[in-house]
Amino acid sequence: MGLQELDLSVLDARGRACATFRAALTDLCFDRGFAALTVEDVCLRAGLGRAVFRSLYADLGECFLDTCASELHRYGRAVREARADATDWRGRLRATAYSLYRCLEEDERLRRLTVVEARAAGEAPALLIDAAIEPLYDLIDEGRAEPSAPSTLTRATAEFLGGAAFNEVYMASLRRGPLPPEREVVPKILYLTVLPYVGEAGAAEELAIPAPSN
Amino acid sequence: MAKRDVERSASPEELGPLPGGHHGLSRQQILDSQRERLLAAIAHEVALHGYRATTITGIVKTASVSSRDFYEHFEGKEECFLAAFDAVRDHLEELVAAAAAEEAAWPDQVVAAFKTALEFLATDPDLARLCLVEPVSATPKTAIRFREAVLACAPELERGRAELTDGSSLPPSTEDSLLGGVISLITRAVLAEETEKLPALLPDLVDFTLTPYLGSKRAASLAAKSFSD
Repeated sequence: MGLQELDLSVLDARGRACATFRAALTDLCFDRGFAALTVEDVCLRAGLGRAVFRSLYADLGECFLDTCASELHRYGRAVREARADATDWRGRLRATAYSLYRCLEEDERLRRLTVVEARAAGEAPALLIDAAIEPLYDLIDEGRAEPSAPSTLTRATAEFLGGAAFNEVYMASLRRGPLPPEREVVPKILYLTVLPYVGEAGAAEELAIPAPSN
Repeated sequence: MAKRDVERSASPEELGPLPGGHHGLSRQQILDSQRERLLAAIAHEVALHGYRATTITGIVKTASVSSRDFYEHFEGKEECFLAAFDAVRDHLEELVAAAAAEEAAWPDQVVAAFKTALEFLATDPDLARLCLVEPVSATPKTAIRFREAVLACAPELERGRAELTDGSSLPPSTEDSLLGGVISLITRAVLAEETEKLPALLPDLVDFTLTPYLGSKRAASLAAKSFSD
């Protein structure tokens, strides 16, 4: 969400200031890249003073981390809601993939921040992203419990497949403009993800299963 | 970067200045030498400090070249970095192409290509970092260059579609996803400072990458063979 679309009426003063700084940082990261920004730039865009910024954040990195964490929290909530009704591994995987992709599709600026800029903004955001991705590897790794899964598969299988999915989004996010439609990306990611665990016939089903509505 | 510098990036002590006085070198030889040392120096400095904290002052000091000479070669740090990245990428492409050319069948070519790339990267953590970690986060331009370099490998994998049997097909751009997985797994090892262990990833990479084309049984067999070789 950019600065223009922000609804701040429900927040207290501190929350409003944080939200304004987060939106300003998101806008500026999209326009110029995090590496080119200063605290002054963010304060100017936010329309708030440097003293207010300093009362909330130690530095620009901390503001970036807060912005990233806030967005990752939203992704996490969306995923939990989407897979509440999923009972089996593939259902949970499908719900996770679609809900995450939809979150990322919603706002190009926030997507760029969490997917691209977070890798360039220092160690803390990179660690935050790694920590957020780890549960996805755990979920993929549950595929080893599928009856058809070969015993030769290891945790590295899940890391390869999770990395493949993340890189797909990363590569698409490097380009400006919307992500490709979900029907062109998500079924293919699901196909490749379940392939080592359920084999060709089972994986091919993922290409035909309709996208969930929520 | 000259081939000898790409094969193993030079350490600072190997990057001494040219001898002063009448060294008998032509202007072009001097320029070439400066450029090589600057490219080796940026690889070293970026591995030490990361792209953002690397300075032109640090690069020229490590290269034993003056700032003025630096700007004769490059407009700035980004251009120098891109030149180093391109040099390593070109060299790696040559090595991989030569290794693959020694194999007749496509699956064996893929195995040879992975083996060569992993062994090359394992010998030099600085170059592995320059190739895989830093371009992603350095600047938008370096990220795009990295993306182009990765996607340029897709046509080689696409040749595997000819191996598909039973009228089966793969979703479009499966190769981009597979390459993403390959990069992700290698990068994790580099970030964990386990570059020397990269060759051990060969069986996994072979298995994961070939499974969509050959089926899990045949891919696993080739993976096991690559391990025993």
